[in-house]
Order: sequence, then C-alpha cells, then structure tokens
Amino acid sequence: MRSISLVGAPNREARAAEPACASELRVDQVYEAHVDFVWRSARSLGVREMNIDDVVQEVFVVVQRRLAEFEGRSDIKTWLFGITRRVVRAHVRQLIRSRSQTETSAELADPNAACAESQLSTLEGARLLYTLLDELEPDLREVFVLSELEEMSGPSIAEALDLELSNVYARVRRARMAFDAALRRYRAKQARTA
Amino acid sequence: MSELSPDARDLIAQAQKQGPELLGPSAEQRARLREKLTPLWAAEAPKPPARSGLRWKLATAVVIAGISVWGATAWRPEPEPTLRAVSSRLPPAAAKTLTAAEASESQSPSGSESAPSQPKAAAHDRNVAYDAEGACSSHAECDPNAPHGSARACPPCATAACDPMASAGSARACLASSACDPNAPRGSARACPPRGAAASLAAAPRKVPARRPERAAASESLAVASLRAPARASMEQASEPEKASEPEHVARIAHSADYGGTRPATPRAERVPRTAAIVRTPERRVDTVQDPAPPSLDGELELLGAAQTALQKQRPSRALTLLQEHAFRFPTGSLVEERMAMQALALCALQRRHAAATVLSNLEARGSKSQLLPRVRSQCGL
Repeated sequence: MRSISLVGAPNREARAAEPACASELRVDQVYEAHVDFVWRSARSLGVREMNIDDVVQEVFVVVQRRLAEFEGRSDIKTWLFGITRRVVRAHVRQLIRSRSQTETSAELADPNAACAESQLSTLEGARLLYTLLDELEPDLREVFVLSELEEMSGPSIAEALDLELSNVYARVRRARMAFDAALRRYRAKQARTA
Repeated sequence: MSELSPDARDLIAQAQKQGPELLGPSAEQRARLREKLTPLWAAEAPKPPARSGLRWKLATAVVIAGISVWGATAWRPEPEPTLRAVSSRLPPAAAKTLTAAEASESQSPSGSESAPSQPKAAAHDRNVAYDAEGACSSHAECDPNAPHGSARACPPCATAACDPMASAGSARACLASSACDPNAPRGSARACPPRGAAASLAAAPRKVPARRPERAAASESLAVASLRAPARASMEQASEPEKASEPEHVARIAHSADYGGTRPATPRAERVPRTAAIVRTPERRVDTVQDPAPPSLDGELELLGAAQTALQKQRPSRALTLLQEHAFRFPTGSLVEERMAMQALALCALQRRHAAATVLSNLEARGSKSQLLPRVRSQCGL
C-alpha cells in the first residue's frame, strides 16, 4: 500500500504522528491532523458559525465510518474535502427544507446578523472574504476555496471534485474573475460611502 | 489562466492573518468537538479491516465446501425434453408421425443415420428431434441411388422393409415424401405422412436459434436455395392448410423453445434444419413478439396533478419542470393537450407570453377542440 501524507497546508495544520499506510490510520489521528482543514473548508463553503460544530462533527462521524475504505490512493485532504463537501451540501439542503425559502436565503446571503448590506463597507479580513465568497456560485466557490485558500494543485482539485482537469482550470479562471468583480463592487460601494 | 488581482490577493493574505476563523477552531472548540465525537466513534466501531485470522480462513473453507456439496447434490440441469415429451404437446396427427420417427430411430443402426457423427444421446434433444423430423420430411432431397452411407444417401425408412440400395421405382425402394400418394390408404406403403406433423414440426424450430437476424437470414436464404423445387412445393402444400389453425400451439412451442433455457450448445448445422427454413417467414415471427406495455395513465395523472398543484401555489417554474418531465416520459401520452395547455398557463404566469402563444398555436395545430383553449386564452389574454 502506498504511503500517504497526513500533512496539511504548511504552517496551518496541527501535525500528528504520521502512520506509514492507510490501514494504520485511526480516526482520532485524522481528527487531530485535519480538523482545522475540515473546519476551514466547511466555513469557506458557506456553513455559518452557528452550525459549524454540527457539520464538522458529522464529517468526522462519516470519516470514522468510511476510514476502512480509504486506501491511500489519493491525498487524505482530497478525500476529506470530498466528504466535507457532501456533508455541507446535505446541510444546506436540510436548511432549505426545514425553513422557509426566504429565511434560508436571508441566512445564506447574510452570514452574520451584523453584516447587513449597509454595513458591508465596514467589513474587513475574514468576514469580508466570506461575504465575497457568498457571491460566488457553489461550483466556483469550491474551486476557489481549494485553489486560492488551500493552495491545492489542479490535479488534486480535479480528484477532490471529480472533475476533468480542463474543467478545473476553466472554473478557477471563472471563479477568480467573479471574485475580482465582487471585490470591485465592494470597493466601489466603499468609495461611495466614504 | 487569469490571475487574481493584487487587491484580491492582499485581501486573502490579510484575512488569513487576521481572521481566526480561517485558521481553524480554537482550542476550546476543538476540545468540545472531541468530547462530542468520542462517544460517537465508540458507538460506531469500525469494521475489522483485514480478515486474516485462522477463524476467518476456517469459516471461508467451510462455506466454500458447503457450496460445493450443495452444488453437487441439489443443483441439476433441467432435463432436456425428449421426443416423447415434445410429441405430447403436438396435435394428434403430428404426434403420431413423431412417434413413428422415434420408433424408426430406435430400430435403425447408428451407422445408417443421415448424420452419422451425431451422438445417440443427442437424438432426444429438442432440436435434434426437429432435425430428425426434418430429415424425414426432406426425403425428397436424398438420392435413392446414392451409395449407402454417403452424404446424399436416403435415411432408413420407417417401415424398415425398403432397401435404400434398390433402384427407384422397385418394390423395395425407399419412398420419398414427394413421391407419396395422397390417395393411398393410411398406413399403406405409399401413404403420405399427416400434414399437421410436417407443418407444425417444421414451424416449431424456427424460434429455437437465438442468433443475430442477419446471420439467421443468411442461413435461411442458403437453406432455401439448397432445396429442390419439388420438396419446396410439397412442404408448402403441406403447411398451407394448417396455417389458420396452427399459430396458437406453434407460438406455444416457440415460446417454450425461447424461454426454456436448456438448449445445449449444439453445432450450427444441427440447430438449423433445412426444412424449417422454408416456413420461417416474417409473418410468423410476429407471433411471439410481445407488444410494449401501454403508457401508464396513472403516471401521467400524477405528474399533471403535481403541475396543477404547483400552478395553484403560484409556482409556475416548478410546474414547467413537471410538465417537461411529463413530455419526456410520455411524449405521446393521453394527456398531451392538457400538458400543453398547462404549459401555456405556466408560461403566462412567468410573463413569457411569446412562448405561451407558441405553445397555444402548437396546440391548435394539433386540431385540438379542448375546452381548455378558451380558458387558457382568457387567462393569458392572448
């Protein structure tokens, strides 16, 4: 069996003892090494802070159930992102089902109660980043998070999202353009407010 | 690939430095999550990854041995239908001829059969039974003057009193089917075999070969071309009066041949009797083709009902989706006009009046006299 890497992005992951092969992986090891990555990915994919605990917990329950099937043929981060992505989508669907359309839209469009449209110009840092990410389509958002925030390579993204490599590049280009456009709109609004 | 603007890059760098949310959960959040997850992990213990112990090997061996023993004792291939079994499903006249053929087979030595290489056990095979009857029916093909044992030699007669080596026309010469006398008393030497036997038995094996149509057609044309005209005339004459009364039991035999699933892998020459090719006509093949199931009205009603509900709930987009699904599943359904009318209504609700007018004109072009037309027109204002 091929050896796998448990190392996340440089200077981001809490490194754990790295077993030699996938069959030696234990879920608590995976949790210690990659909970930051899963948490960050779920947050970047649109899960609100009030729900992030539930989503991450659900991800690691799935990980524990499916860990025996992981054969180490891909990077474990790729595998974890696939699980996270499915759990997040299920979470969003559940939100849409359980609440009225208007409530869900409002919540999805307005991640923090304080981040109303009128206060957008005062956002900074991570909150502004999440707000701009919310303006991207889900498909573009996923590739943008993996390429720009997680700095994954094109083939890894293709594997994580089950896409052709050419599609990944095309989506990354469109996502960058959409993000730049959203940022320009924000800057213009900021200039008008000032 | 286009790059991110410097402003966007600065924003991401700034967010990663400032925003704790981007770095991951805090220590407190991490501990809380771990506390929640530990009992869940314990409750859902992972399956053993590798089954390599001695107990596993032993259990596997026992299971395999059990399957082998069961396979050797319980499973038996379905017995092939014997000639007698086939004859029990035929009309009395055909069964009688078939019984006579079986008797002649049992009496004749194996070396004098028309297919000497054919195993004796296979003579009771369903196909070979037809072949045997086909051979009896195609006596006209053989040459009574051909040397005994040659490919064109006549098969032994059922009476066993004739001599294949005798000259044609002599008292001991074997009788060809084409030379039989229809007016001769039944049971006499020159009596023709019953017509039902030839027709039904020749028609039955046409369903047996499950081959590609073009290959079947090719072999059929070859077989027909190889027959001599008198034989063809006699066979068609024999099968003609039976066509009106035969289809039911012919279809039954063909069905049992098609779905019996016990047909052995016999050589191609055995599978396609030459006499069977004569009556393998396209009209008769239609007998066993099953009509496709009619489209379900319930399914149509369900979809259109859901679309109607969506329209009433002011959700025309949802209604259009359901109507498209209806058009995909039931393109020629019974409720096409209703679907088109509802499509027009949904398009009107979406302020797509031009598309609604197109749908309405299509509906009118179908010559529809539906009561829905004026209602749709009034609602859409078209």
